[in-house]
Amino acid sequence: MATKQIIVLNVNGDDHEILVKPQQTLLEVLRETLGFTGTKQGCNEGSCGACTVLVNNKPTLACSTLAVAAVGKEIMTIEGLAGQDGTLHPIQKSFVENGAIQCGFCTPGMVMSTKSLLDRNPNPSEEEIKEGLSGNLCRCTGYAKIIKAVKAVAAG
Amino acid sequence: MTLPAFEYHRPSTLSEGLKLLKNNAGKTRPLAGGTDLLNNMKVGLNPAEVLVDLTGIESLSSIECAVNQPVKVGAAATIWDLVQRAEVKENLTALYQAGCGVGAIQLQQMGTVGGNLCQDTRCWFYNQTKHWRRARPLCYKTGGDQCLAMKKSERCHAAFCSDVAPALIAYDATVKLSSADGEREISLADFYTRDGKTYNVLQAGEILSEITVPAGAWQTKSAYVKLRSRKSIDFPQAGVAIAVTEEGGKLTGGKLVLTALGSGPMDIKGAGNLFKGLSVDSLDVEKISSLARECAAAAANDVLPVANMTWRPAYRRRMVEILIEESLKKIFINK
Ligand SMILES: Cc1cc2nc3c(=O)[nH]c(=O)nc-3n(C[C@H](O)[C@H](O)[C@H](O)COP(=O)(O)OP(=O)(O)OC[C@H]3O[C@@H](n4cnc5c(N)ncnc54)[C@H](O)[C@@H]3O)c2cc1C
Ligand code: SF4
Ligand code: FES
Ligand code: FES
Repeated sequence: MATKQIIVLNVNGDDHEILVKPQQTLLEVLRETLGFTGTKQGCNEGSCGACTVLVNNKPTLACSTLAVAAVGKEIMTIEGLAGQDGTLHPIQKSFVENGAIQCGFCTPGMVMSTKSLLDRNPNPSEEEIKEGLSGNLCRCTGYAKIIKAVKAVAAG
Repeated sequence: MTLPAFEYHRPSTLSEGLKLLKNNAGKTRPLAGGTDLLNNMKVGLNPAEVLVDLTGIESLSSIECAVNQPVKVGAAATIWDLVQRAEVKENLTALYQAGCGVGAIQLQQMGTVGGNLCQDTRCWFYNQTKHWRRARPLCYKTGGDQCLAMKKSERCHAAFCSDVAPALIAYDATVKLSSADGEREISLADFYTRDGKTYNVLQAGEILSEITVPAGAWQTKSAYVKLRSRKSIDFPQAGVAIAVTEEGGKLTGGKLVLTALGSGPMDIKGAGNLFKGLSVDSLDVEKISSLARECAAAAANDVLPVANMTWRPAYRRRMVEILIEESLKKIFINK
């Protein structure tokens, strides 16, 4: 049982052919096989949001997703957000400018959840920002500056 | 914590999926969003040698939802896709509020309606790492012959903590159960056994394939309120769904369904009569308080919280009346 298999994962627009075991999570494969270490492992049980990536544009917990189940889907990690030349995405820029980052461990997940929120609602109210990020825990910032950063980017 | 080894299949048709489940009966489990199953498997719970992923089966992800028509939801449709529809948000309020209460946004976008209804029951002595559990004897749910939470009990009291199930039961939803050998349709209320170990009536090789909310649901007024430690992520420690029907300013009936207070959702039988005949205009804050008290009294015998989650059973029991009151206020006062 459980033999390794070759799969193709599309991450940040590029196809990657890799050998995985069915029980490997998307998080393990992104970080350990493909080297996308921007996606973080916090709780590894679905409750902190640090591992949030977008799968077909849906905010998805990579720790609670099998890599084999992501075949044929578009996966976007924090590495896919900045421009090719390293220019930060407006959300990333706003997080930096508003001091929304302290240790930075929650940041990739926060930014991906923010991207998903702004994609479906470009002008969220404060309440909607809180709701949109309620699956992402931060142990450092106290959230106020994260909310400020999201507001700032939404206001353009 | 890593996942144990298993074989993975992703069938594209229901018949193929059901055949895989039948051929591997006893060692297989269906996988939907994986938010419950995979995290349980990481700590050695819900063992399975073969996982059959239902999310590749197109017919299981469909949602038919039009006002005044029965709502048909494929079991692998996500909670998000169902409850974020404008028709649901505006009319099937309890379902909307319950869906928005599940974990957090990621869990609503990944979690399926079927997975929510079939999720495992929960207990402090069960949802722990293998090492933690090894320090204690086995209990009914893990193959032993005792309950660690209720010492003298003859059954497992693990709590069924779905938010979506009570809302759907309040609308009298039915479910279709399918296997390679056929299908059957039962009421969602009858899907649950109220035993924490074998908590639903699914047979080996059988899945929940479709949920139907009857057209009558569109005529109800409803609400769902849950008790949780934080405003997001946490499972309910108690939950209340209420749906009432009204004609000419008078209530003609209603349902009160509780969750997370026992090993299955509880449809409180006496509640309908308490609602019947009440004039909607008379339901001010004071009347709602006394109605909530009566409802809580009707529910008292069915409320069975035990000391197996963060908050004490006495507190969760006491909160039932308050949650009922809040639900009624949402229906009749805040609207
Ligand atoms: C941090 C965290 C917080 C959570 N909070 C809540 C909460 O507040 N409220 C709540 O209700 N839930 C909560 N959950 C549980 C879970 O996320 C949801 O219940 C979710 O809807 C489960 O759906 P799924 O598709 O991910 O199920 P899966 O994990 O894929 O499956 C759950 C179980 O059902 C079985 N199954 C799945 N689909 C079917 C089917 N069609 N027929 C038969 N069996 C099936 C699986 O074999 C498995 O045993 C939480 C989970 C986590 C990790
Ligand atoms: S309620 Fe009792 S039998 Fe059930 S999981 Fe908890 S300790 Fe085990
Ligand atoms: S690491 Fe995935 S939710 Fe915490
Ligand atoms: S910045 Fe440290 S966890 Fe959020």
